[in-house]
Amino acid sequence: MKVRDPRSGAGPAGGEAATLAEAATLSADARAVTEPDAEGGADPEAMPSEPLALADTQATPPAGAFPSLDGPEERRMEELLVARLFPRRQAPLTIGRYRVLDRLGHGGMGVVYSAYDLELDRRVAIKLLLSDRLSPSAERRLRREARAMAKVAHANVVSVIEVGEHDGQTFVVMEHIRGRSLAQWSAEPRPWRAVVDVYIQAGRGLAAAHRAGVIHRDFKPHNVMILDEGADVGRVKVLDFGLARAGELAGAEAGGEAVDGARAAEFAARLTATGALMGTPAYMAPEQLGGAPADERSDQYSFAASLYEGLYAELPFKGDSLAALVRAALEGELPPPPSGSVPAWVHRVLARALSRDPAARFESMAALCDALAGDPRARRRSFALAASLCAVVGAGAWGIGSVAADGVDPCTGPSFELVDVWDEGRAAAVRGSFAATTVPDAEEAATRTIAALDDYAGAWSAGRREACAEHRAGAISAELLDLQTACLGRRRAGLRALSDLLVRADAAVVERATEAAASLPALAACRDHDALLGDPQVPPEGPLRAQVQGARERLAEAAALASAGRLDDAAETAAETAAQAEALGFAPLVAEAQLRAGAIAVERRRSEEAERALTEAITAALEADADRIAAEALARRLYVRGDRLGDAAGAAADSALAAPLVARFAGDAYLRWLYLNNLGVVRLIGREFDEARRLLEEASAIEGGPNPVERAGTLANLGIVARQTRDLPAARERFQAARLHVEREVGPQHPLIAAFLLHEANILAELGRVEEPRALLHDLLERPGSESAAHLGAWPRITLARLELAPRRYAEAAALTEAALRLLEPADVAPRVQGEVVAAIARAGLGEVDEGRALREAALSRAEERFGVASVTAISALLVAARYAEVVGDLAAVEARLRRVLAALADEGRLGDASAAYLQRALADVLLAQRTREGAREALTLASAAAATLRGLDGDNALDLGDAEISRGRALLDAEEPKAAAQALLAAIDRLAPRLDPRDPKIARARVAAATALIIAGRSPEARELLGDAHAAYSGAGAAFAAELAHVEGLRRRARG
Amino acid sequence: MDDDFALLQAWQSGDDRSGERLFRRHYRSVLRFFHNKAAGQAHDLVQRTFLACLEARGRIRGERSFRPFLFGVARNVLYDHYRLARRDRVHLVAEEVTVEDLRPTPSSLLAQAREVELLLRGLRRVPLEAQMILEMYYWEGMRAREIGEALEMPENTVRTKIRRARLRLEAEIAAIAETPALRQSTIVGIETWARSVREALSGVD
Repeated sequence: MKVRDPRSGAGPAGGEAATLAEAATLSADARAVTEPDAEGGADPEAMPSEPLALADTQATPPAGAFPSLDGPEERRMEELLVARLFPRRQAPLTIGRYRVLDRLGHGGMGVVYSAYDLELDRRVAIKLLLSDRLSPSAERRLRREARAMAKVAHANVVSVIEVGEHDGQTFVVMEHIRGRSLAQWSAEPRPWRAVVDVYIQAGRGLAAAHRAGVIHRDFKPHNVMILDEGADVGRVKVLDFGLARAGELAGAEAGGEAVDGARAAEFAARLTATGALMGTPAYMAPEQLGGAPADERSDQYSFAASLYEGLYAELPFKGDSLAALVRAALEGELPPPPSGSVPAWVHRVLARALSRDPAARFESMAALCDALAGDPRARRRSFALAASLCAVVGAGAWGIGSVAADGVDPCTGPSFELVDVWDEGRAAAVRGSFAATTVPDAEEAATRTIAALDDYAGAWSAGRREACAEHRAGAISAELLDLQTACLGRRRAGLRALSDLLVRADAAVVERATEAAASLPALAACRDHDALLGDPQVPPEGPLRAQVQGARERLAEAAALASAGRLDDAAETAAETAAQAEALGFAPLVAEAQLRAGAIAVERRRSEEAERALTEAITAALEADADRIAAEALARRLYVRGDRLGDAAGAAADSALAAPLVARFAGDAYLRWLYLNNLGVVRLIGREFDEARRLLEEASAIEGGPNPVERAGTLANLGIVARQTRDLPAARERFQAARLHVEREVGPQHPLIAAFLLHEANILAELGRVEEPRALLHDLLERPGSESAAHLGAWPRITLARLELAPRRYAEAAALTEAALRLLEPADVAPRVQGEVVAAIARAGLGEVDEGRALREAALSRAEERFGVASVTAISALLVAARYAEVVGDLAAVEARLRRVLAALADEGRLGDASAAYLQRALADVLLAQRTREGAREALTLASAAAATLRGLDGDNALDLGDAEISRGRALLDAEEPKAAAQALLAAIDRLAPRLDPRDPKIARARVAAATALIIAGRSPEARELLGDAHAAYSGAGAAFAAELAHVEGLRRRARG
Repeated sequence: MDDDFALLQAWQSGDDRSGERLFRRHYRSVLRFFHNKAAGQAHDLVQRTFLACLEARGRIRGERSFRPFLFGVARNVLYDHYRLARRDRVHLVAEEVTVEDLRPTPSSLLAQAREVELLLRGLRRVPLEAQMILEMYYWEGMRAREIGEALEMPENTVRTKIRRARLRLEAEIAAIAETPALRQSTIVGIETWARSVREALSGVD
């Protein structure tokens, strides 16, 4: 015998014989049920010897001759795998507007994919018909039946969404459902009542199809699904009206012919050999087996045969071969009811539906359903239950309730796990995608993320099972179960969005993955009965409820995207959902969507946009009585106004409104934290430091609530308060705590850690340390290059370069600033200005004085233009320039700038600020460097004023005060008041020496000045010790300080002499 | 090292283009490997196999050629799959266990051509190791040395095992074939069958 080329398929006959049984292919465990149809259909000779176990063997149709590895569906599978393995290289695989996600199964006529409807944002199942396996007439028929099905809209029927064409192939888009086929469901023993209840639902679906003129033609347990996921859990849906013909005749060749027993075997052979007949023999009505066209009555027979099997675990008519089976159906008598618990009246109902004469059956499917539902005992037991048996809409909760009444445990199955959302396969894919990035800590990030998501998924499943079990035990109502299921559905949507992102992670996603995992909303809220029931934000039963739930799942996705740093995608999703919410006109949803959009806009630093969205959220929330949303929106808006928009009055008003609202939700730790933290920041901006500290400390003491990164943010805010109040050790401690918290809870790869380290290094530098910040900054630079924030690579280099200026290591400073500036865009003005000023000093120090001077002046001018003369950026750059003004030269230019800033501050009444004191001291130094008598006098006034200001300020200003005292002492020396000078300088040295590195050139310079004053005042012995220390410092500082060293040696000779 | 290894290394260092070339070169072979052993999960196992190759940094130094390495990885993936499917920790003894024993459910393969089906069924009934050896030898055209590398056994052992596996396969086919004529044609033509199955499976190779 020739091996048939599988690519040519089974031909029309084989194709017709196949059924399109999605029953198995759509179920989560479909892949486990793949026994072929009656084996060896192509060889009639072998047929009779094959044992028939039809009930178990028809889950999936014959898969053609042999699994072709070259057919179109295999090529598509190859592309799908390529898309999974190389996500960045591949355009996503699509059929029409649907993005293909996975292959669910394949049958004789086609392949079933799970896909995503990008337009309507939902999951669908797509059956793609393989034209090379279908005759043109078969294809026409399939299109016709799909169109017929699209007419049937019923809760117990899988709906057809679209029929289309893709690359010359017909595809049918169907509602995506998850669950088990009744064949699988019935594999376990079930109480008879549960079985009947489930079949009644299926019967209602059939009846609805009949009303629309669609005949199923192949009803069997494999073509009925029992959903085990979503709000519709327990609902039964009939699918695969694949052979439905909308009442058309099957064909003339066998129509109406009488069939006698002698021809049964011939029929059997014909059925399978030619495939002229469609449907599955074991459940087929006798008249159908005889070749008569199928009608409502034959569907009724198939339905009854299936239910019979479900109740008695055997077919009504048995045969150990196909021929014997057909003979029994055509000739045999229905056996008496097998012993068991099934009541006799059920058997009587089934016997009527299984009548050989179609006219003797029930007049319609609906009548059969009514008869099955009409259990007199059920009516006695509970009228409500009996009534609900026929209820079709809203069967979800009832499905579980009624099954539970009979003691069946429905709280298991795939819907209680997170198959495809988060499972082992996904975890492996995450590991792979993380490993494919260049992030050095990717492996650890993957491990942490996977562990966190495993925990989350486990808790999710447990919560789901618990809710189901409680409902079963009668502890919670169906309504509450619905609310819990919907809440868990939103959590799953967030998890799914994150999981989708992680399996395609890039470096930026890897860095934030653990944070995103930790940011998934708490599952406990879904188990909080009071909160769920008290929530007025669920629309009444109906289509709106499903749409609102869908929108809320989208919002959960947006939140997950945002926490993973995909802010643009998150913003887009939130904006779309907000528009959808407006269109639905459901105010609570509008509020939620605008709140989410506002929160994301804050993160994107779109302040006006954020304020607008949050304002809309507040309005909609108040309209809808959604106080929780209003409270959160206010808590967020007060920050936007107070910090980002500089609108102190608006922030104060928001704070007054938010306080009582927040207090109403005493148990909501997150809300309380958010309010306290944001208000704390606003107070910080308003320079109300004590109040800011109090609020932030209260925020950081809250248990639960914020995610680890948010909690670290509060600690860092406390660090900023401490730094502002010059409590530098406390500031350092806070930033350290923030960093350690993120490292411990989220992992060392998080980008915030670099920011915290930078803060710490700056504080250490402000404390006068050199080696510690240098080491920290070097650590920072050795961290993985963050793709998400280039300036995080630039700032540490600039700070390091600045640390190199004092010891005059200009070459190092120049190299560092050059590298830093390369990382920056022209738009990064603030770091650029800082970097260029440092670079200017370094170049001048290396001898390129003119270039340095030009660079410095350009950078300082740009800062003034861009941010304002008295801005923080302009002032801090100018202070650096002033400190090293002697290196670069053109002291007059620096003097002019300093005077301009001081004038601006005087205009604003800010001469009492610390920054005014720094500027006065810097101006004093610049004047002293010019060595004029008038300059020295003015320098004395300025330095004295600066010292007085600094003494009056809170916090630790010792270093700045020491600087001011040195300036004052040098001014006194120039003013020829050596005694006073010596006193000031010695006081400064006493203040500075314990804090500074003994080799610090600044302190050496102060010692030299003090020694000079002492020598002039005739106190040489005291001077000698000072000069010894200065000599030691300079001689260890290298050739750059040779001139200073020579000067000290000269002074020492004078002091001796 | 052949250039498939170069492609793998390029992929490991982030070059997806190389990864895709490598994948496409060997996709069908690997799919074929899994198809008659775990049909329902074959594609997932293919994906897992390539991901496992991607992760196999450092382990590839001693390898001479790529295909034995790839099949070795695939074999491990398959064993893991069976172990997981069985949900027990019993060590898998490949010489004793057959795919018919291991399959959680029957295969979906329905052979229209009886001989092909017979051969496939026969292969599933011989011990897993024998099945792998026969498939590599007949379908993939791998040499005894390469099979030895993939399965981590000496070349001479492989030769012996090929002979024994063939005898075993013939016995299994004899046991399941319904008609003497069919049995005869299948056994006599095992090489021919293997070749035609290979062609049928791979389409244009």
